[in-house]
Amino acid sequence: MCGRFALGIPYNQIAELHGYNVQVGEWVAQEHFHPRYNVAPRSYAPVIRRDTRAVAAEAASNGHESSEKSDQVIMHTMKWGLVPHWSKHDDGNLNTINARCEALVEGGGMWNSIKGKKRCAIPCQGYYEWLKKGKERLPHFTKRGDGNLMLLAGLYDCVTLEGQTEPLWTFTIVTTDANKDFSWLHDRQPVILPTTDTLNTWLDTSSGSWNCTLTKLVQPYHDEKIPLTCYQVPKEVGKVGNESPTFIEPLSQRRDGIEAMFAKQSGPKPSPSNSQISSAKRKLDDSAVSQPSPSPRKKAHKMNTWGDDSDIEYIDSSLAGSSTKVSRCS
Amino acid sequence: MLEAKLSEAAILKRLLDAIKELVTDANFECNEEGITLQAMDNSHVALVAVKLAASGFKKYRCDRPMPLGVNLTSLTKVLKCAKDDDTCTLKASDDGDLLNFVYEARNTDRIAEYELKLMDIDSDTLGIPDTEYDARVTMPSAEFGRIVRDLSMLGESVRIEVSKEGVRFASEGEAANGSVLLKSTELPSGGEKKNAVRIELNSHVNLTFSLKYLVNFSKSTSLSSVVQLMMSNDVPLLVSYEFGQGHIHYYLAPKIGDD
Repeated sequence: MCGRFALGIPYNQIAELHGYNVQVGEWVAQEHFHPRYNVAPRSYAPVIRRDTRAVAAEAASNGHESSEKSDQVIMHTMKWGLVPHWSKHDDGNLNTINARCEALVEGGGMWNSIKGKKRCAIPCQGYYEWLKKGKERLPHFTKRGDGNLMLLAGLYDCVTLEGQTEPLWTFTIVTTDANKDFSWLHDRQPVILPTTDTLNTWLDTSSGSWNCTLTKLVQPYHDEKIPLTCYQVPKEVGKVGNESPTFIEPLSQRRDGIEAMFAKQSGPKPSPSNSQISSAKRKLDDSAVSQPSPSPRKKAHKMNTWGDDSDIEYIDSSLAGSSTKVSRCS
Repeated sequence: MLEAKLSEAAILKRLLDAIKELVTDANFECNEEGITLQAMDNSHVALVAVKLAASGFKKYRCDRPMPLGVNLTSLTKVLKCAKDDDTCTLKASDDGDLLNFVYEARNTDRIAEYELKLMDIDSDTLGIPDTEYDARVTMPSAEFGRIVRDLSMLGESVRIEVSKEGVRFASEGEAANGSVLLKSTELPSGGEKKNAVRIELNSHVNLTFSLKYLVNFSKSTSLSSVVQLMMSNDVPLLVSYEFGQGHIHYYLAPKIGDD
C-alpha cells in the first residue's frame, strides 16, 4: 500500500542529487514544497522528470536533434496521489498513491495511458514502513546505506479539473515485491532506482511506450553494491502533523530513550557498576522482529513495507487533510 | 532442566498482567538463583526488570542457566487456565522448545497440564547503572495507581516534584489541570503505620513523565500494597514493587524539554 517518506533537507541539497550524475535544470513550483521529515500522501513533494516542453520545442525548431537535448531533467513539485488526466473531479477516493508494478507490466487498467509517457522519480532521504507487531505498528525507516538520497520510481499526470483554471500535477510511487531481506517488514516495497543509469532508463520516455528493460527495473531491489539499511524509529512519525528530524534516527539511539539515559548516566561518572554496564549493552530485539539497526554495512537488512497496512490511520485527522485513511494501494 | 513450583498461580498471573501491556515477547532467564526478565517497551522509553528468587518457590531446581523465550500474549492465555490458588509447576528440559505448566487444584484431585511453545528471542541485557537517587517516596500502591489514573484523564504527562513539603503530582490538560500533594505521614515515635507516605530526600527533584507508562506500571498494584518511586533529576525514574517472591522494577526516561 502506501506510504510516507522523509525529505527534510534544504532545497539546494535536494536539487544537487549528490551521488547521481544528473543536472537538474529548474524546479517548477518549488514554493509548493516545504522540506519535511514526514511527507504524507496528498501533500506536495518534488519529483524529477524529463523536461518535455524542452523536447517539444527542440523538436519543433530543428527536427531531429531532440534526442540529445531530451536528457534535460527538471524538478517539479507535485501532489502525491495520482489524478488521471481524464478526471473531472479530485474526489479524494482514489487509491493512487502507489501503482503496483504488476499492473504496469501486465498492462491494462488505468496506468496504460500513463506508464509509457509520464515516468518520474521521487527523491527522498528514505521511506517509512510500519511493522505489525501484535496490536502495535512500529514505524521503520529504510534508506541507502551510503546516505545519498534515495530515488523512487514514480508516474505522474496532469489534469485541469472542472471549475479550475490551473492544471493539477500529481504523482504516484511504483511498488514491487519486497526483496527477501526486507520481507520481514512488509511484503511490498517501492521500486528504488539506485544509479544514474537506472534513473535515466526510467526517465527516458522517448519511445512513449513500456518495454522489457523497464520490466527489469521494477523487479525487487537487488543492487548489492548499494545496500539499504533499515531500523525502527519513533512512533510519533505516525501522525501526519508531527515533524522532527529524529524521525529518521534509530529508535534505540533516541536521546530521550531509556538506553541513552542509562548510557549518559553511567558515562560521565564512573560508578562501581561500570564494568557491568559496558559489558552488557543491550539492543533489545524482542522477537526477532525488530532487528538492530544501525549497521550500515549490512545489506538491506530490514525494510519494508511499503505497503499495506495501510489501512492504518497513521494519518491523523488533526492535520492536514481530513482524516484520510491511507488505503491500500493496490 | 528447570523445575519450579509456586504455591499459588496467582503470583504469576498478576506478574503477567503487570508486564504484558509493555512488552510483547521476552526471555525469562533461569538460573540457580531464580528467574529474571528484562525488556524494553516498543518505544524504547521504558524498561521492566522482574526477579523471582529461587527462595520464593516451594520447590526450585535449575541445573544450568537457560533462557525461555516467550510470547507474553500466549503465556497469558495459558495462565488464565489456572485458578488463583492452584499450585503451579513450571518445567522445561535443557534443549526442549516447550515450557510445561502443571496446575494442581488445592482441594480436589484435578491436575491440568499445558504446554507453551518457546521462541528464540534475540536480546542482550541492558546494563542498569547503580544509582544513588536524590529522592525516594514510599507510598501505598493503590494511592499511586489512583493518582496516575486520575491525572491520565486530564493530560498526557505528569510533573512529579519532591520537596520538603511532600510529593506533588501535577498534570496540565487542554481542558483541565490537576495536582495532588501527598505529605509525609507523621509517624508516632518508633511506630509503623499502614498506608504511610514516607519521603527521603537529599535534594529537590522535579521531573516530567508520560502518564500512559505510569498507568501501565500501576498494574503491579495487585502484587504489592507498597510502591517506591526513586528519582534524581535527568535520570530515569525507578518504580519498584517488592513482593514475597521477588520484585518488579520499572524504569522510565523522563520527558526532555517542553513537550
